[in-house]
Amino acid sequence: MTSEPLLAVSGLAKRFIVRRQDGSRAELRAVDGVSFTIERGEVLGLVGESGSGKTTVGQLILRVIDASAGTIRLDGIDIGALSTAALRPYRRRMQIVFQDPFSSLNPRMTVGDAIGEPLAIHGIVKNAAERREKIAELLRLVGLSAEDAKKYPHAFSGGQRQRIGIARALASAPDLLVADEPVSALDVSIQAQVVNLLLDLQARLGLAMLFIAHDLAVVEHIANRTAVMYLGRIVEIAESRTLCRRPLHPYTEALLSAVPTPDPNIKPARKVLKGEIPSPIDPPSGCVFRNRCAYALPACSKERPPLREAGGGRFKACIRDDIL
Amino acid sequence: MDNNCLLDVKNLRVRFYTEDGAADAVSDVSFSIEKGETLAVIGESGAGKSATGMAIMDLIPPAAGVEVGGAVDFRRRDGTVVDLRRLTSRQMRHVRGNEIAMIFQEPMSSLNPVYRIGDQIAASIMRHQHRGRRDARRIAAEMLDRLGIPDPKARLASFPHQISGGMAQRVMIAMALACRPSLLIADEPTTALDVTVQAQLLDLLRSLQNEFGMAIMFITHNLGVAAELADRIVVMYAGRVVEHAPTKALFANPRMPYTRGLLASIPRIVRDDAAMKLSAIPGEVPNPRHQPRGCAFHPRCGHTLAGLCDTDVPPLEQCGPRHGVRCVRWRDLVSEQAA
Repeated sequence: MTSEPLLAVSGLAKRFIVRRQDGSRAELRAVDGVSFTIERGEVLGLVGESGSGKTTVGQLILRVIDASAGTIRLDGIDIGALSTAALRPYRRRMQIVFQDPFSSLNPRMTVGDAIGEPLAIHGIVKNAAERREKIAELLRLVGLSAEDAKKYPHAFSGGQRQRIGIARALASAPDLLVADEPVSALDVSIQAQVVNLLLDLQARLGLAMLFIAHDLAVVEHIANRTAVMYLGRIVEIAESRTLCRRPLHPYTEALLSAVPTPDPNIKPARKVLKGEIPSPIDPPSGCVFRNRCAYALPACSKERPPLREAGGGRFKACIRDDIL
Repeated sequence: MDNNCLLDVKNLRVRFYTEDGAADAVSDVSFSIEKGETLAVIGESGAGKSATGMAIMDLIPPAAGVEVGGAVDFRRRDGTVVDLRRLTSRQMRHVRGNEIAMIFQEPMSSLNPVYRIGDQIAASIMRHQHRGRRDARRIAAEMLDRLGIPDPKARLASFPHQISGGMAQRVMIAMALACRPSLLIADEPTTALDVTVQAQLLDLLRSLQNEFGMAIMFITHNLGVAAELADRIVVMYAGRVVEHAPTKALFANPRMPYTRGLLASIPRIVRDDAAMKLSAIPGEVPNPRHQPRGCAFHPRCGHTLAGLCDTDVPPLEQCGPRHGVRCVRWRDLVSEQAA
């Protein structure tokens, strides 16, 4: 058997038809030709600012929404092409943790029922006693107690609710967890607890994870490799530390320099990006970052730069090799 | 109040009476801000930092079940010092928006969706500076230009839904600064924005402050932002000031275990091979309705001594030049650290 990656995404695209302000129809490319792989037990960080398409990528992989183009292979099976019924066994293997722990739990369901639901749907437990035992085990796994199963979400703080969300996601023993900004709604001191929990679970259960976030510092702590998205495209992928120490794409460089440093002795040598992320309806030709890029050349407007190998397992979508 | 002092908050309290009894969102908060200084107020949700800002601005609606106490001395443009808490609401309207301005976390919800941006900025200039509409619109256009908004004339005619979040926050800043206030209270103004837009706005605030010489009270949960912007920092926890110090001293010698925990728990972009696990503070941020007895941080603190930390609220003690800490064990911890 070949060593197929757990998840292989290739040429993934999602286009929406929208109306412009003048009423004419236009195509919005939320995700535009994204390719990457995740190995078993690997954490891939996906960072980008609002509007970069990172959440849409997560939804496409889980088939919450269907792709306009491209393939999504889980263990070599193209799950993008499967019918809803045929997809079900694969759904069990991929779960999601959402950003907002306040809106992602049903306030009228006890915590035990919320965690028990996937157990029932996927036929994981046979009877009530087994179900109770499994729920207790999951709660303990995320640092809560078995008694918490009887309570409703309102009895818990944000950090505890996020633990409940993680327990629910783990109920079906998935191979891949899509974590969509799982800590960005939490307080700093609680954020660290949840990041540590995810690291711990990932190591113990051998989970693979797509960790979606806008905070590069958090991603660097949790992800083995990191992909940077801008306007629906991946502009750089590299091992997380290498990416943060020596970014190769001008957008990654700008993103890193924008992060405020919690050290008053370091004066930011900041490269402030001009302007804002353009509309994905009429993106710039060629490289979509070129109109904000300090290194742009006339050639950058000609054609879309492919994501190409830049040595040492790194990939970048930039035509220039003489910078950074 | 000495001559450099612009704002002096003394024993500020915001108390809510709920079905479960009284809950103090802000208790006994005192600090001062000098002319032209940037003071960051940091803390997590429920720390009382926003309530402090709202109480200074007298924006907490007078309602049954809410009680604001304490004094807020403010030096007005004409040099007189007034206690804002004792002004009539009519007098306060001359200060608010004119001499003290405020910007908020959600720029979109701070703008009125049915009025054009130009009219919203002009309204405050007309009201406080007694200018005519044409004059006010000209000043508004100048402010937008100063804030780096392209094509300011055209933007004045836009409605809030037609602009981005970053742009909306610039409009809010333009509105806030149009009357040249001596104090700007900024309540998490960049929290809802992307980091690259945040970086733009922080640079902008810095240069506007140099130009206009205003003081800024910057409320944030982001220690990185505070480190970059602030001259001094006030750390709040569960409604109280638990530590305050000049920025460099706070980062170099944090005395309160909570401040230390907070500093240790922020993920940093590491340039060396440090451990990957973050050092988390255990437990949860306390609910204002069920404050722990004694030091509010004691259930989460690794240095708690029973019978000492869980009995009385510790006093705010001086522990260095302009450096205060609310921890009965701070001396022990300093000597432990030295040992």
